[in-house]
Amino acid sequence: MNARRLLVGFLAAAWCDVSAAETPAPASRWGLLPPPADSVTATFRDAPTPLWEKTLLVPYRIVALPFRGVSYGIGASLVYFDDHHVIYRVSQLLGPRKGPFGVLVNFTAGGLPGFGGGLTIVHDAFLAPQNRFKFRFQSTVKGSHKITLGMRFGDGRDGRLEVGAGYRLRPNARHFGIGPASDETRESFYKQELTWVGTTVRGQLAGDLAVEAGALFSTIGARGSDEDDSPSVSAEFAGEAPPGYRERSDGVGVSLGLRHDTASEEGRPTRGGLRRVNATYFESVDGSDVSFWTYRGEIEEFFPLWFSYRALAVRGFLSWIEPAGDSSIPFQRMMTNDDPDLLRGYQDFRWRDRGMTALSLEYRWPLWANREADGFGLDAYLLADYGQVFGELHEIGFRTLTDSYGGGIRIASFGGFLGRAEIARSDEETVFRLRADQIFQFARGGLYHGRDPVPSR
Amino acid sequence: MAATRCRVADVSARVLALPFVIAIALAPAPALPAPPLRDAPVIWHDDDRRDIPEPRERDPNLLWDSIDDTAVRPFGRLMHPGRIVRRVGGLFGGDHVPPAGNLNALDESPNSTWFTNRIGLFPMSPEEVARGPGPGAGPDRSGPWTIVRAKTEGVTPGFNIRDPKGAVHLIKFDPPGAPGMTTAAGVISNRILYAAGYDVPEDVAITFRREDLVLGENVKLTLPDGTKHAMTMGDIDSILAKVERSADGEWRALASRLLSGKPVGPFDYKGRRKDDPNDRVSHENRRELRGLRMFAAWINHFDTKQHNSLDMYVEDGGWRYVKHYLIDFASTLGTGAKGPTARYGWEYTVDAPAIVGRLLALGTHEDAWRRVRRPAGLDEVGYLESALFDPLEFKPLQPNTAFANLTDRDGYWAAKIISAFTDEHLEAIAAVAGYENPEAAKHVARVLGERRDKIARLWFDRVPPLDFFTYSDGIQRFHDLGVERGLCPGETSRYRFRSVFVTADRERLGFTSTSWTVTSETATAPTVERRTAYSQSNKEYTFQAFEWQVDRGEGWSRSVTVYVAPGSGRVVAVER
Repeated sequence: MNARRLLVGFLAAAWCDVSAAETPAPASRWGLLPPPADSVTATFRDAPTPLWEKTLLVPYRIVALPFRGVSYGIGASLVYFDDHHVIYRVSQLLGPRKGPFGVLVNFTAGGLPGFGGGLTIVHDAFLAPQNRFKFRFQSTVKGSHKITLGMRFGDGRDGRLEVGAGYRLRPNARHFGIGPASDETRESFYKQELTWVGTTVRGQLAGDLAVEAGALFSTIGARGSDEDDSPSVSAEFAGEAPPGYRERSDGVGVSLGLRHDTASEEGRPTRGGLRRVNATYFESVDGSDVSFWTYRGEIEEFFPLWFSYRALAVRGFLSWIEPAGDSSIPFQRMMTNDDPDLLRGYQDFRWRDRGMTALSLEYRWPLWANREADGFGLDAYLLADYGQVFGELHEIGFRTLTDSYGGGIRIASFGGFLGRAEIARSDEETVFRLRADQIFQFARGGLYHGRDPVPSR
Repeated sequence: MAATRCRVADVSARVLALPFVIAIALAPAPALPAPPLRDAPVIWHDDDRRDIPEPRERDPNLLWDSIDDTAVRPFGRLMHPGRIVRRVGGLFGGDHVPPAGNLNALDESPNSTWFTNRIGLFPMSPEEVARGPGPGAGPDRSGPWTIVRAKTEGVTPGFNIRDPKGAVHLIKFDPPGAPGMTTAAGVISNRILYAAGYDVPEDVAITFRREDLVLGENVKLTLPDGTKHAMTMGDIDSILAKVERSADGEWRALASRLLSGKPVGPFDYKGRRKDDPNDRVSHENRRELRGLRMFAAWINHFDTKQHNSLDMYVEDGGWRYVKHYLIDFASTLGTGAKGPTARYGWEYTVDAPAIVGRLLALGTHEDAWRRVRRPAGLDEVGYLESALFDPLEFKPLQPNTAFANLTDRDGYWAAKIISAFTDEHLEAIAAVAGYENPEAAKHVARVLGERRDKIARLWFDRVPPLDFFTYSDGIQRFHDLGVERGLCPGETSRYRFRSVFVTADRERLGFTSTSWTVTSETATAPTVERRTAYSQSNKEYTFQAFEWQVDRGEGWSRSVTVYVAPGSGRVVAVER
């Protein structure tokens, strides 16, 4: 402290003491409170760290050193990216769209396709305010690719037309044999290629009741698998390869159905549900003379429970393929446990037959909310799936019924469902899935969202 | 009550082997020795206004700060060996952290560049409390306001204006759909924190018309992506177009007068500012910052990140030093920058324990905040209620290091100040908040009063609210704040004391009276008085300690010990 400051300090202190003498101290609850003066002013400092604590801090700081280093590195990186507006620009890209057009990143992980991602381009006012456009591309590390294009015209209240097309390659599709008793040790692989183009029309009848009609051209091939995916179907099922293997099935299907949809939202529905019946007639155009009917009945209900946003979601369906005439149904067109008809404790394509039935239960409760209770947030859920495939109705029974149990976390927002991470276990395996779709309310998807239209569901 | 025990010898470097560490970990954490008693005036001023060079401006990154506060620091606190030992020791009595470092002998926070004792120690009229730090008039209206800066970042827009007298004010608006809500909350919280003792800017609720504004020269508008362009009148209109107007065509806003001095960035709630020699007590160990947790709980100030504070390098009588302010109180009283939010104040943004708890509970428990409702018909009031309010369950958006260090003594200190606000004070504050609906002001004042009482009851139950001791002519006087503030029944409150001679180092000479003396006085009077005998039997034991307890009908409380220098009649220390 230089001499000038020392003098100023002395004079100030002297002034304070003089002032203290001249100015009456204010009356406080403790009595008269003196103004600043040396006698009532002190320098406060941190208390010294006790020796026992200093001793304990030595090993603590050594162990903490790498963590501090990582923390410092992460912090410095974040600060750098933030200062250069990188984080802002990424948040604009990934965050809620401010306008009708948007480019979104999609992810998938787990299950047969494995880890992957892609882009989704959407436009919510395509050619007119009530029209929508969606182009989606996704690819995974296991070589699974999917490209879809969907357009929706109309908002559904007075009618809706959807047009869609897509291509999906699944290099490691599986086959265990046909029937509810297929042996888990007979896993074999094939490569499945699906291409489709089609249209559906929905018209409101009364209230929440709508009729749907559709037409779809699809071609689905089942080729030999790559060397990495062995054994192949031909190796495992030599002499008894399923019909349609190493062949391509081309054909047209026309469908008609009724749907009654009272579920008011997709993000966290707690009331209402979806009821559907549908019949589809398929006829091949590849000269194989294959034709069959597919019948499906489905019901989903959401029940509110004891507190807000606790819900029990129940979904049951039965799908059945009835051949017309003597035609053999290509195995790749049979019912299988694949999106959205999952038995979640099993990987895709574990079960296959002409019919499938399942009951899925989810108990959901809120886990975290960003701001509002019904806004962006995470919900947890416990799941149970019971189901089986069957060739004849009498094959449905407790002895052949499979069960899966597990749980997961859903990401939801005002705008609806965003994604899920779940794990489920059956008597054969444990499966983890990270997806942007859900098995409940999938029927809202259809051609616009690019859901696989084969088999007909 | 560590200091009333005999002094504990330091557990020193002999403790290196694991068994000794375990033994110590299971033993009560050794307390820091209390400062020696002295028969001298109590310290009421912190010597932190010494002239210093201008510190470097701090500019902490908002994103990293939130991650650091939410994940890194809490984990560090969880694993800190000193806190672990103290927590184990806390099972046997004692705190999880050392006492605050800036306390005087009466367990009060002296005046400093951080805090000035006001309503807690001095009577303040409702008008004084409602006026706040300034004249309370807002920007001068003798001419137009010149816009000198604008902001578009954040949810709510705003701009800086210079009034005809040259004062610069930051003009902030309410979020869409919540007219008047954050404006009123900002004013009310500003007044409360100022009266409590914190340094805050002058915030006033104002109304204005478009013609009151003119654009200054060379004003740049900074966009969220960092780009800038010269501001135009159209930009002003774009900003105002996002803001709702009242029925008479005026805009309502909060005018916050820019603080004098040079801003040098916010203060962190942990550590010290290294280039400020006056900053000698770690911020997480400052009484006023620890106690701020209770004030924040009271007014539901959930946005207590360091960016809502501001250090100013000021000049005062030739001395230049840093003064520490709290700023931006729009996110209080159940509303925030994006409008009213029920969840805020109940959980951290990412509250891992709460999330894990909900996961394990399988949805069988309903969070309290999901039951909070806004008052019907009062559109200007956010999610502010008192029925479900629990002061200890309050959580800001991100964990706060100083808040985590709150001890019982710190909580009591805050409760003492909070309970000094009467209903009249709160009504006067709500009256200047600018509510269009007078029922909104009444509702807010009432709810704040109820929350105040909850905070006071909580801490007065934990720490006996016997305070403001004086001693003269053999008579001790003190105030029972529980009775004084209408929280406890005076008629059924009983008191007892016992006394002992002590040295300056608080070593005892047994007890002059080993048994408790129950007073016959009740607290129907503002103060309790008791004649206590003193006789000096040993020259070394020059101080007398009086240990007081109170019984409200549920048993005797913990002790409050008052140290007296009978020769001078001075109360020299209080221990809780």
